[in-house]
Amino acid sequence: MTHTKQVESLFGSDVEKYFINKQIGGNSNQKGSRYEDFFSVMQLAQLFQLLTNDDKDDIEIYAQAEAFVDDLLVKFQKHNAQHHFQLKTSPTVSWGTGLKSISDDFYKQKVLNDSLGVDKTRAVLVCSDKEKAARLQKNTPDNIADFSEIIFFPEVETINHLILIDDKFKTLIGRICFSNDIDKLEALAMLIFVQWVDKKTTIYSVKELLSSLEKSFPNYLARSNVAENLLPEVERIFSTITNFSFKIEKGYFSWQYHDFDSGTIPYSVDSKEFIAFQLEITSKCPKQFDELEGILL
Amino acid sequence: MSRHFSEYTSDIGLSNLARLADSSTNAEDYSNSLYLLGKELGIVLAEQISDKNIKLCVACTVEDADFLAKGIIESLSVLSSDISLACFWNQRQQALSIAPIIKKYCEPAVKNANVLVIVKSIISGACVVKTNLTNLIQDIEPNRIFVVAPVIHCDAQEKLNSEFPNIIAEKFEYIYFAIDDEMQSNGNLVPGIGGNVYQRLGFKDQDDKNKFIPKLVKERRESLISAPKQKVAV
Repeated sequence: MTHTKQVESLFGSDVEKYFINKQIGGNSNQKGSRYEDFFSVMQLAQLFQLLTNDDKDDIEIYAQAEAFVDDLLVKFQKHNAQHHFQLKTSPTVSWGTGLKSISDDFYKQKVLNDSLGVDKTRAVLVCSDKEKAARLQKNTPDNIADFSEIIFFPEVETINHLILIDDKFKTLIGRICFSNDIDKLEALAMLIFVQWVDKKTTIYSVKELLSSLEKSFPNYLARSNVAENLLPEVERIFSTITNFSFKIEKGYFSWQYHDFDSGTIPYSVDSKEFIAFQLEITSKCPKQFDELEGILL
Repeated sequence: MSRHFSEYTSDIGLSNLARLADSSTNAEDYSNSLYLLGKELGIVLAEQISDKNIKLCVACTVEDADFLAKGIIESLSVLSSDISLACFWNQRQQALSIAPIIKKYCEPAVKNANVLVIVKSIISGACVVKTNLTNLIQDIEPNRIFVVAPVIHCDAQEKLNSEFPNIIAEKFEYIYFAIDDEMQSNGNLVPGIGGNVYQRLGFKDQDDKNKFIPKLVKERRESLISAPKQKVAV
Protein backbone atom coordinates (compact mmCIF):
# COMPACT_ATOMS: atom_id res chain seq x y z
CA MET A 1 0.00 0.00 0.00
CA THR A 2 1.33 3.42 -0.91
CA HIS A 3 1.94 6.05 1.80
CA THR A 4 1.72 9.05 -0.52
CA LYS A 5 -1.80 10.09 0.52
CA GLN A 6 -0.84 9.76 4.17
CA VAL A 7 2.14 12.04 3.53
CA GLU A 8 -0.11 14.63 1.87
CA SER A 9 -2.60 14.65 4.72
CA LEU A 10 0.17 14.90 7.32
CA PHE A 11 2.50 17.42 5.67
CA GLY A 12 0.72 19.00 2.66
CA SER A 13 1.19 18.87 -1.11
CA ASP A 14 4.75 20.29 -1.33
CA VAL A 15 6.06 17.55 0.92
CA GLU A 16 3.98 15.01 -1.00
CA LYS A 17 5.75 16.09 -4.25
CA TYR A 18 9.15 15.82 -2.53
CA PHE A 19 8.23 12.36 -1.18
CA ILE A 20 7.25 11.14 -4.69
CA ASN A 21 10.38 12.65 -6.29
CA LYS A 22 12.54 11.02 -3.63
CA GLN A 23 11.35 7.58 -4.76
CA ILE A 24 11.91 8.39 -8.46
CA GLY A 25 15.40 9.76 -7.73
CA GLY A 26 16.20 6.80 -5.51
CA ASN A 27 15.20 4.27 -8.11
CA SER A 28 17.23 5.90 -10.88
CA ASN A 29 20.28 6.20 -8.63
CA GLN A 30 20.05 2.57 -7.70
CA LYS A 31 22.33 1.39 -10.50
CA GLY A 32 24.61 -0.10 -7.96
CA SER A 33 25.84 1.85 -5.05
CA ARG A 34 28.50 -0.50 -3.76
CA TYR A 35 28.55 1.31 -0.42
CA GLU A 36 24.85 0.69 0.11
CA ASP A 37 25.10 -2.90 -1.07
CA PHE A 38 28.00 -3.75 1.23
CA PHE A 39 26.12 -2.23 4.15
CA SER A 40 23.05 -4.26 3.19
CA VAL A 41 25.18 -7.43 3.19
CA MET A 42 26.10 -6.70 6.82
CA GLN A 43 22.45 -6.09 7.74
CA LEU A 44 21.39 -9.30 6.00
CA ALA A 45 24.02 -11.31 7.89
CA GLN A 46 22.56 -9.99 11.14
CA LEU A 47 18.99 -10.72 10.01
CA PHE A 48 19.90 -14.24 8.81
CA GLN A 49 21.32 -14.92 12.27
CA LEU A 50 18.09 -13.67 13.88
CA LEU A 51 16.03 -15.97 11.66
CA THR A 52 18.18 -19.03 12.28
CA ASN A 53 18.59 -18.47 16.03
CA ASP A 54 15.66 -16.77 17.70
CA ASP A 55 12.99 -15.33 15.56
CA LYS A 56 11.12 -17.67 13.28
CA ASP A 57 8.86 -14.86 12.03
CA ASP A 58 9.81 -13.35 8.73
CA ILE A 59 11.48 -9.96 8.39
CA GLU A 60 11.25 -7.73 5.32
CA ILE A 61 14.02 -5.69 3.77
CA TYR A 62 13.65 -2.94 1.14
CA ALA A 63 16.28 -1.09 -0.87
CA GLN A 64 15.04 2.40 -1.78
CA ALA A 65 11.86 2.09 0.24
CA GLU A 66 8.82 4.30 -0.02
CA ALA A 67 9.92 6.47 2.86
CA PHE A 68 11.64 9.71 3.86
CA VAL A 69 14.59 7.73 5.24
CA ASP A 70 14.73 5.37 2.34
CA ASP A 71 18.13 3.86 1.43
CA LEU A 72 17.37 0.70 3.36
CA LEU A 73 14.33 -0.29 5.38
CA VAL A 74 13.97 -3.33 7.61
CA LYS A 75 10.46 -4.23 8.82
CA PHE A 76 10.08 -6.51 11.83
CA GLN A 77 6.44 -7.56 11.45
CA LYS A 78 6.34 -9.48 14.72
CA HIS A 79 7.49 -6.49 16.77
CA ASN A 80 5.72 -3.90 14.58
CA ALA A 81 9.08 -2.12 14.31
CA GLN A 82 10.89 -0.42 11.43
CA HIS A 83 14.57 0.36 11.05
CA HIS A 84 15.35 3.02 8.43
CA PHE A 85 18.85 3.66 7.13
CA GLN A 86 20.21 6.66 5.22
CA LEU A 87 23.72 6.19 3.85
CA LYS A 88 26.10 9.05 3.13
CA THR A 89 29.60 9.00 1.69
CA SER A 90 29.85 12.75 1.18
CA PRO A 91 32.34 14.45 3.51
CA THR A 92 29.99 17.46 3.76
CA VAL A 93 27.05 15.54 5.17
CA SER A 94 25.14 17.43 7.88
CA TRP A 95 21.83 17.23 9.71
CA GLY A 96 20.64 20.48 8.10
CA THR A 97 17.30 22.15 8.65
CA GLY A 98 14.03 22.44 6.77
CA LEU A 99 12.51 20.41 3.95
CA LYS A 100 14.90 17.97 2.24
CA SER A 101 17.40 18.03 5.12
CA ILE A 102 18.38 14.77 6.81
CA SER A 103 17.05 15.90 10.18
CA ASP A 104 13.70 16.84 8.64
CA ASP A 105 13.51 13.52 6.77
CA PHE A 106 14.17 11.68 10.05
CA TYR A 107 11.55 13.73 11.88
CA LYS A 108 8.92 13.27 9.18
CA GLN A 109 9.67 9.54 9.02
CA LYS A 110 8.87 9.21 12.70
CA VAL A 111 5.64 11.23 12.34
CA LEU A 112 4.61 9.15 9.31
CA ASN A 113 5.40 5.86 11.04
CA ASP A 114 3.48 6.91 14.16
CA SER A 115 0.48 7.79 12.04
CA LEU A 116 0.71 4.39 10.31
CA GLY A 117 0.70 2.64 13.68
CA VAL A 118 4.34 1.51 13.72
CA ASP A 119 5.22 0.87 17.37
CA LYS A 120 8.95 1.37 17.17
CA THR A 121 10.91 3.49 14.70
CA ARG A 122 14.68 3.52 14.55
CA ALA A 123 16.35 5.88 12.07
CA VAL A 124 20.04 5.47 11.35
CA LEU A 125 22.43 7.74 9.51
CA VAL A 126 25.29 5.64 8.13
CA CYS A 127 28.37 7.69 7.43
CA SER A 128 31.67 6.70 5.76
CA ASP A 129 33.74 9.28 7.62
CA LYS A 130 34.54 8.18 11.17
CA GLU A 131 35.22 11.64 12.62
CA LYS A 132 32.21 13.11 10.86
CA ALA A 133 30.04 10.32 12.27
CA ALA A 134 31.23 11.12 15.80
CA ARG A 135 30.50 14.85 15.29
CA LEU A 136 27.04 14.14 13.88
CA GLN A 137 26.30 11.85 16.83
CA LYS A 138 27.21 14.67 19.22
CA ASN A 139 25.06 17.19 17.34
CA THR A 140 21.95 15.10 16.83
CA PRO A 141 18.96 17.49 16.89
CA ASP A 142 16.82 17.12 20.01
CA ASN A 143 13.58 16.43 18.13
CA ILE A 144 15.01 13.24 16.56
CA ALA A 145 17.52 12.17 19.21
CA ASP A 146 15.23 9.60 20.88
CA PHE A 147 14.93 7.38 17.82
CA SER A 148 18.03 8.30 15.76
CA GLU A 149 21.60 7.11 15.73
CA ILE A 150 24.76 7.39 13.65
CA ILE A 151 26.82 4.44 12.48
CA PHE A 152 30.27 4.64 10.94
CA PHE A 153 30.70 2.20 8.05
CA PRO A 154 33.85 2.44 5.89
CA GLU A 155 33.72 2.94 2.14
CA VAL A 156 36.01 0.50 0.33
CA GLU A 157 36.12 -1.11 -3.09
CA THR A 158 36.04 -4.78 -2.15
CA ILE A 159 34.62 -7.17 0.43
CA ASN A 160 38.06 -8.56 1.23
CA HIS A 161 39.22 -5.06 2.12
CA LEU A 162 36.09 -4.49 4.21
CA ILE A 163 36.66 -7.68 6.22
CA LEU A 164 40.26 -6.64 6.86
CA ILE A 165 39.36 -3.23 8.27
CA ASP A 166 35.86 -3.50 9.75
CA ASP A 167 35.60 -5.77 12.77
CA LYS A 168 31.83 -5.45 12.98
CA PHE A 169 31.33 -6.59 9.38
CA LYS A 170 33.77 -9.46 9.96
CA THR A 171 32.08 -10.49 13.22
CA LEU A 172 28.55 -10.48 11.80
CA ILE A 173 29.52 -12.54 8.75
CA GLY A 174 31.49 -14.83 11.09
CA ARG A 175 28.38 -15.56 13.16
CA ILE A 176 26.66 -17.21 10.22
CA CYS A 177 29.74 -18.71 8.52
CA PHE A 178 31.12 -22.14 9.33
CA SER A 179 34.63 -20.77 9.62
CA ASN A 180 36.37 -17.60 10.76
CA ASP A 181 39.00 -17.88 8.04
CA ILE A 182 38.85 -14.75 5.93
CA ASP A 183 38.63 -16.63 2.62
CA LYS A 184 35.44 -18.37 3.83
CA LEU A 185 34.01 -15.14 5.27
CA GLU A 186 34.69 -13.39 1.98
CA ALA A 187 33.10 -16.22 0.00
CA LEU A 188 29.93 -16.10 2.09
CA ALA A 189 29.76 -12.29 2.01
CA MET A 190 30.19 -12.35 -1.78
CA LEU A 191 27.37 -14.88 -2.13
CA ILE A 192 25.08 -12.66 -0.03
CA PHE A 193 26.18 -9.61 -2.05
CA VAL A 194 25.45 -11.27 -5.39
CA GLN A 195 22.03 -12.51 -4.19
CA TRP A 196 21.17 -9.08 -2.82
CA VAL A 197 22.17 -7.17 -5.96
CA ASP A 198 20.22 -9.67 -8.07
CA LYS A 199 17.05 -9.79 -5.95
CA LYS A 200 16.78 -6.51 -4.03
CA THR A 201 14.08 -5.09 -6.27
CA THR A 202 12.00 -8.27 -6.40
CA ILE A 203 12.35 -10.15 -3.10
CA TYR A 204 11.66 -8.45 0.23
CA SER A 205 11.39 -11.50 2.47
CA VAL A 206 14.59 -12.12 4.42
CA LYS A 207 13.48 -15.74 4.90
CA GLU A 208 13.25 -16.14 1.14
CA LEU A 209 16.68 -14.57 0.61
CA LEU A 210 18.16 -16.93 3.19
CA SER A 211 16.46 -19.91 1.61
CA SER A 212 17.85 -18.91 -1.79
CA LEU A 213 21.35 -18.59 -0.27
CA GLU A 214 21.02 -22.03 1.33
CA LYS A 215 20.44 -23.50 -2.11
CA SER A 216 23.84 -22.24 -3.36
CA PHE A 217 26.56 -24.87 -3.31
CA PRO A 218 28.88 -24.50 -1.56
CA ASN A 219 27.34 -21.77 0.60
CA TYR A 220 29.72 -21.55 3.62
CA LEU A 221 26.77 -21.17 6.02
CA ALA A 222 27.22 -22.63 9.50
CA ARG A 223 24.93 -25.59 10.11
CA SER A 224 23.15 -26.27 13.36
CA ASN A 225 21.31 -29.41 14.44
CA VAL A 226 23.56 -31.56 12.30
CA ALA A 227 24.83 -34.89 13.62
CA GLU A 228 28.54 -34.24 13.88
CA ASN A 229 29.84 -37.76 13.91
CA LEU A 230 31.60 -39.83 11.29
CA LEU A 231 30.90 -43.40 10.33
CA PRO A 232 32.59 -45.61 12.95
CA GLU A 233 34.77 -47.25 10.28
CA VAL A 234 35.94 -43.83 9.03
CA GLU A 235 36.82 -42.81 12.59
CA ARG A 236 38.76 -46.04 13.00
CA ILE A 237 40.72 -45.48 9.78
CA PHE A 238 41.57 -41.90 10.73
CA SER A 239 42.74 -43.00 14.17
CA THR A 240 45.37 -45.28 12.59
CA ILE A 241 47.00 -42.45 10.60
CA THR A 242 49.83 -40.99 12.66
CA ASN A 243 49.80 -37.23 13.28
CA PHE A 244 46.45 -36.81 11.54
CA SER A 245 43.63 -35.09 13.41
CA PHE A 246 40.22 -33.76 12.49
CA LYS A 247 37.31 -31.86 13.93
CA ILE A 248 33.72 -31.19 12.95
CA GLU A 249 32.47 -27.74 13.85
CA LYS A 250 29.34 -25.90 12.76
CA GLY A 251 28.57 -28.87 10.50
CA TYR A 252 31.86 -28.92 8.56
CA PHE A 253 34.86 -31.25 8.61
CA SER A 254 38.37 -29.87 8.85
CA TRP A 255 41.65 -31.69 9.29
CA GLN A 256 45.31 -31.26 10.10
CA TYR A 257 48.46 -33.29 9.50
CA HIS A 258 51.42 -32.44 11.73
CA ASP A 259 51.42 -28.67 12.00
CA PHE A 260 51.94 -27.96 8.31
CA ASP A 261 49.08 -29.49 6.31
CA SER A 262 45.50 -28.46 6.92
CA GLY A 263 42.25 -28.30 5.03
CA THR A 264 38.51 -28.02 5.09
CA ILE A 265 35.94 -29.92 3.11
CA PRO A 266 33.71 -27.16 1.75
CA TYR A 267 30.43 -29.06 2.01
CA SER A 268 28.60 -29.90 5.23
CA VAL A 269 28.75 -33.29 6.92
CA ASP A 270 25.07 -33.96 6.20
CA SER A 271 25.48 -33.48 2.45
CA LYS A 272 25.43 -36.33 -0.05
CA GLU A 273 28.93 -35.29 -1.12
CA PHE A 274 30.20 -35.89 2.41
CA ILE A 275 28.54 -39.31 2.52
CA ALA A 276 30.33 -40.12 -0.75
CA PHE A 277 33.61 -38.91 0.80
CA GLN A 278 33.14 -41.24 3.78
CA LEU A 279 32.35 -44.18 1.50
CA GLU A 280 35.52 -43.49 -0.48
CA ILE A 281 37.51 -43.56 2.77
CA THR A 282 36.03 -46.92 3.78
CA SER A 283 36.53 -48.45 0.34
CA LYS A 284 40.16 -47.25 -0.12
CA CYS A 285 41.05 -47.70 3.54
CA PRO A 286 44.16 -45.46 3.53
CA LYS A 287 46.85 -46.51 6.01
CA GLN A 288 49.04 -43.43 5.88
CA PHE A 289 48.64 -39.75 5.10
CA ASP A 290 50.04 -40.04 1.57
CA GLU A 291 47.18 -42.40 0.69
CA LEU A 292 44.57 -40.28 2.45
CA GLU A 293 45.66 -36.91 1.07
CA GLY A 294 44.19 -37.29 -2.41
CA ILE A 295 40.81 -38.32 -0.97
CA LEU A 296 40.69 -35.28 1.31
CA LEU A 297 40.80 -32.95 -1.68
CA MET B 1 45.91 -6.47 -28.12
CA SER B 2 49.20 -5.17 -26.86
CA ARG B 3 51.99 -6.61 -24.76
CA HIS B 4 54.72 -4.66 -23.03
CA PHE B 5 57.82 -6.10 -21.46
CA SER B 6 59.34 -4.94 -18.21
CA GLU B 7 62.94 -3.86 -17.72
CA TYR B 8 63.65 -7.26 -16.12
CA THR B 9 62.94 -9.35 -19.22
CA SER B 10 66.00 -11.15 -20.57
CA ASP B 11 66.32 -13.07 -23.86
CA ILE B 12 65.70 -16.28 -21.89
CA GLY B 13 62.56 -14.71 -20.49
CA LEU B 14 61.37 -13.60 -23.94
CA SER B 15 61.83 -17.02 -25.53
CA ASN B 16 60.06 -18.82 -22.67
CA LEU B 17 57.18 -16.36 -22.67
CA ALA B 18 56.78 -17.08 -26.40
CA ARG B 19 56.79 -20.83 -25.70
CA LEU B 20 53.98 -20.43 -23.14
CA ALA B 21 51.92 -18.35 -25.55
CA ASP B 22 52.36 -20.92 -28.33
CA SER B 23 49.37 -23.29 -28.24
CA SER B 24 51.43 -26.08 -29.85
CA THR B 25 53.86 -26.29 -26.90
CA ASN B 26 53.28 -29.62 -25.16
CA ALA B 27 52.72 -29.96 -21.39
CA GLU B 28 56.30 -31.03 -20.66
CA ASP B 29 57.91 -28.15 -22.55
CA TYR B 30 55.31 -25.78 -21.11
CA SER B 31 56.23 -26.87 -17.55
CA ASN B 32 59.92 -26.47 -18.32
CA SER B 33 59.34 -22.94 -19.62
CA LEU B 34 57.55 -22.07 -16.39
CA TYR B 35 60.50 -23.48 -14.44
CA LEU B 36 62.99 -21.42 -16.49
CA LEU B 37 60.87 -18.30 -16.08
CA GLY B 38 60.85 -19.02 -12.34
CA LYS B 39 64.64 -19.18 -12.37
CA GLU B 40 64.78 -15.84 -14.20
CA LEU B 41 62.30 -14.22 -11.82
CA GLY B 42 64.32 -15.58 -8.90
CA ILE B 43 67.48 -13.93 -10.24
CA VAL B 44 65.66 -10.58 -10.46
CA LEU B 45 64.28 -11.07 -6.95
CA ALA B 46 67.68 -11.92 -5.52
CA GLU B 47 69.02 -8.63 -6.93
CA GLN B 48 66.07 -6.71 -5.49
CA ILE B 49 66.31 -8.26 -2.04
CA SER B 50 70.13 -8.42 -1.81
CA ASP B 51 70.08 -8.63 2.02
CA LYS B 52 71.40 -12.04 3.07
CA ASN B 53 70.00 -11.88 6.62
CA ILE B 54 66.43 -12.28 5.63
CA LYS B 55 63.86 -14.95 6.32
CA LEU B 56 62.05 -15.65 3.08
CA CYS B 57 58.70 -17.25 2.48
CA VAL B 58 57.72 -18.29 -1.04
CA ALA B 59 53.97 -18.76 -1.41
CA CYS B 60 52.41 -20.41 -4.45
CA THR B 61 49.43 -22.35 -5.70
CA VAL B 62 49.42 -26.10 -6.28
CA GLU B 63 49.73 -25.81 -10.07
CA ASP B 64 52.72 -23.47 -9.86
CA ALA B 65 54.70 -25.34 -7.18
CA ASP B 66 56.74 -27.84 -9.20
CA PHE B 67 57.79 -25.45 -11.96
CA LEU B 68 57.52 -21.70 -11.41
CA ALA B 69 57.95 -21.73 -7.61
CA LYS B 70 60.67 -24.38 -7.77
CA GLY B 71 62.65 -22.24 -10.22
CA ILE B 72 62.27 -19.15 -8.03
CA ILE B 73 63.34 -21.02 -4.87
CA GLU B 74 66.42 -22.40 -6.64
CA SER B 75 67.53 -18.93 -7.75
CA LEU B 76 66.81 -17.42 -4.34
CA SER B 77 68.86 -20.14 -2.63
CA VAL B 78 72.02 -18.22 -3.50
CA LEU B 79 70.72 -15.43 -1.29
CA SER B 80 69.42 -17.40 1.65
CA SER B 81 69.10 -20.97 2.80
CA ASP B 82 66.28 -19.86 5.07
CA ILE B 83 63.41 -20.18 2.59
CA SER B 84 60.08 -21.54 3.74
CA LEU B 85 57.19 -22.62 1.54
CA ALA B 86 53.43 -22.10 1.68
CA CYS B 87 51.35 -23.82 -0.97
CA PHE B 88 47.61 -23.32 -1.49
CA TRP B 89 44.85 -25.34 -3.12
CA ASN B 90 42.13 -22.84 -4.10
CA GLN B 91 38.64 -23.49 -5.38
CA ARG B 92 38.22 -20.53 -7.68
CA GLN B 93 34.75 -19.21 -8.55
CA GLN B 94 35.53 -16.73 -11.26
CA ALA B 95 32.04 -15.24 -11.48
CA LEU B 96 32.24 -14.23 -7.81
CA SER B 97 35.94 -13.29 -7.85
CA ILE B 98 36.57 -15.62 -4.94
CA ALA B 99 39.00 -18.48 -4.47
CA PRO B 100 38.44 -20.12 -1.05
CA ILE B 101 41.28 -22.26 0.27
CA ILE B 102 40.47 -25.95 0.57
CA LYS B 103 43.96 -27.10 1.55
CA LYS B 104 47.15 -25.45 2.67
CA TYR B 105 50.69 -26.67 3.15
CA CYS B 106 52.50 -24.17 5.34
CA GLU B 107 55.91 -24.86 6.81
CA PRO B 108 56.50 -23.84 10.45
CA ALA B 109 59.22 -21.33 9.43
CA VAL B 110 56.67 -19.32 7.40
CA LYS B 111 55.62 -17.54 10.58
CA ASN B 112 59.16 -16.13 10.98
CA ALA B 113 59.33 -14.70 7.46
CA ASN B 114 60.11 -11.01 7.06
CA VAL B 115 60.07 -11.10 3.26
CA LEU B 116 57.14 -12.68 1.47
CA VAL B 117 57.28 -13.66 -2.20
CA ILE B 118 53.88 -14.58 -3.60
CA VAL B 119 54.15 -16.34 -6.93
CA LYS B 120 51.58 -16.96 -9.65
CA SER B 121 51.96 -18.01 -13.27
CA ILE B 122 49.59 -15.24 -14.34
CA ILE B 123 47.78 -12.45 -12.49
CA SER B 124 44.67 -11.07 -14.13
CA GLY B 125 41.72 -10.68 -11.73
CA ALA B 126 44.13 -11.19 -8.82
CA CYS B 127 41.53 -13.08 -6.77
CA VAL B 128 43.75 -16.09 -5.99
CA VAL B 129 46.70 -13.90 -5.02
CA LYS B 130 44.43 -11.72 -2.87
CA THR B 131 43.02 -14.77 -1.05
CA ASN B 132 46.34 -16.42 -0.31
CA LEU B 133 48.05 -13.18 0.64
CA THR B 134 45.20 -12.30 2.99
CA ASN B 135 45.51 -15.72 4.61
CA LEU B 136 49.26 -15.36 5.14
CA ILE B 137 49.20 -11.87 6.61
CA GLN B 138 46.88 -13.06 9.37
CA ASP B 139 49.90 -14.85 10.85
CA ILE B 140 52.95 -12.99 9.61
CA GLU B 141 54.00 -9.36 9.28
CA PRO B 142 56.52 -9.22 6.44
CA ASN B 143 58.44 -5.99 5.86
CA ARG B 144 58.42 -6.54 2.11
CA ILE B 145 55.87 -8.31 -0.07
CA PHE B 146 56.88 -9.26 -3.62
CA VAL B 147 54.09 -10.12 -6.03
CA VAL B 148 55.72 -12.13 -8.78
CA ALA B 149 54.44 -13.48 -12.09
CA PRO B 150 55.77 -13.95 -15.63
CA VAL B 151 52.65 -12.20 -17.02
CA ILE B 152 50.16 -9.80 -15.47
CA HIS B 153 47.14 -7.86 -16.75
CA CYS B 154 47.47 -4.10 -17.01
CA ASP B 155 44.83 -3.61 -14.26
CA ALA B 156 46.11 -6.33 -11.93
CA GLN B 157 48.20 -4.08 -9.69
CA GLU B 158 45.36 -1.63 -9.15
CA LYS B 159 42.93 -4.48 -8.47
CA LEU B 160 45.17 -6.21 -5.97
CA ASN B 161 46.02 -2.96 -4.18
CA SER B 162 42.30 -2.19 -3.78
CA GLU B 163 41.81 -5.44 -1.87
CA PHE B 164 43.99 -4.29 1.02
CA PRO B 165 44.33 -1.35 3.37
CA ASN B 166 47.15 1.03 2.42
CA ILE B 167 49.38 -0.15 5.24
CA ILE B 168 49.57 -3.53 3.47
CA ALA B 169 49.29 -2.44 -0.18
CA GLU B 170 52.19 0.00 0.15
CA LYS B 171 54.48 -2.99 0.84
CA PHE B 172 53.72 -4.57 -2.54
CA GLU B 173 56.59 -4.74 -5.02
CA TYR B 174 55.58 -6.15 -8.40
CA ILE B 175 58.04 -8.21 -10.43
CA TYR B 176 56.87 -9.42 -13.87
CA PHE B 177 58.15 -9.85 -17.40
CA ALA B 178 55.12 -9.06 -19.57
CA ILE B 179 52.03 -6.95 -19.14
CA ASP B 180 49.00 -7.67 -21.36
CA ASP B 181 45.91 -5.54 -21.86
CA GLU B 182 43.48 -7.93 -23.53
CA MET B 183 41.30 -10.24 -21.48
CA GLN B 184 38.88 -12.73 -23.03
CA SER B 185 35.42 -13.32 -21.58
CA ASN B 186 36.68 -16.52 -19.92
CA GLY B 187 39.28 -14.50 -18.03
CA ASN B 188 42.27 -15.66 -20.08
CA LEU B 189 44.75 -13.00 -21.18
CA VAL B 190 45.90 -12.67 -24.79
CA PRO B 191 48.61 -13.74 -25.40
CA GLY B 192 48.98 -14.32 -21.64
CA ILE B 193 50.38 -17.75 -20.93
CA GLY B 194 48.61 -19.35 -23.87
CA GLY B 195 45.25 -20.09 -22.29
CA ASN B 196 44.22 -21.90 -19.14
CA VAL B 197 47.27 -22.92 -17.13
CA TYR B 198 45.55 -26.01 -15.64
CA GLN B 199 44.86 -27.42 -19.07
CA ARG B 200 48.25 -26.43 -20.48
CA LEU B 201 49.91 -28.32 -17.63
CA GLY B 202 47.80 -31.39 -18.41
CA PHE B 203 45.11 -31.17 -15.73
CA LYS B 204 41.56 -31.92 -16.83
CA ASP B 205 40.01 -29.13 -14.80
CA GLN B 206 40.12 -27.35 -11.43
CA ASP B 207 39.01 -30.45 -9.48
CA ASP B 208 41.73 -32.49 -11.12
CA LYS B 209 44.29 -29.79 -10.31
CA ASN B 210 43.12 -29.76 -6.69
CA LYS B 211 43.68 -33.50 -6.29
CA PHE B 212 47.32 -33.11 -7.24
CA ILE B 213 50.11 -33.06 -4.64
CA PRO B 214 53.24 -31.36 -6.00
CA LYS B 215 56.56 -33.15 -5.79
CA LEU B 216 58.03 -30.02 -4.17
CA VAL B 217 55.50 -30.29 -1.31
CA LYS B 218 56.03 -34.05 -0.88
CA GLU B 219 59.80 -33.71 -0.73
CA ARG B 220 59.87 -30.75 1.62
CA ARG B 221 57.25 -32.30 3.90
CA GLU B 222 59.20 -35.52 4.04
CA SER B 223 62.36 -33.69 5.02
CA LEU B 224 60.45 -31.79 7.73
CA ILE B 225 59.07 -35.01 9.15
CA SER B 226 62.41 -36.76 9.08
CA ALA B 227 64.43 -33.78 10.38
CA PRO B 228 63.79 -34.37 14.13
CA LYS B 229 64.67 -38.06 13.68
CA GLN B 230 68.03 -37.07 12.18
CA LYS B 231 68.70 -34.78 15.12
CA VAL B 232 67.95 -37.60 17.52
CA ALA B 233 70.33 -39.87 15.58
CA VAL B 234 73.12 -37.27 15.84
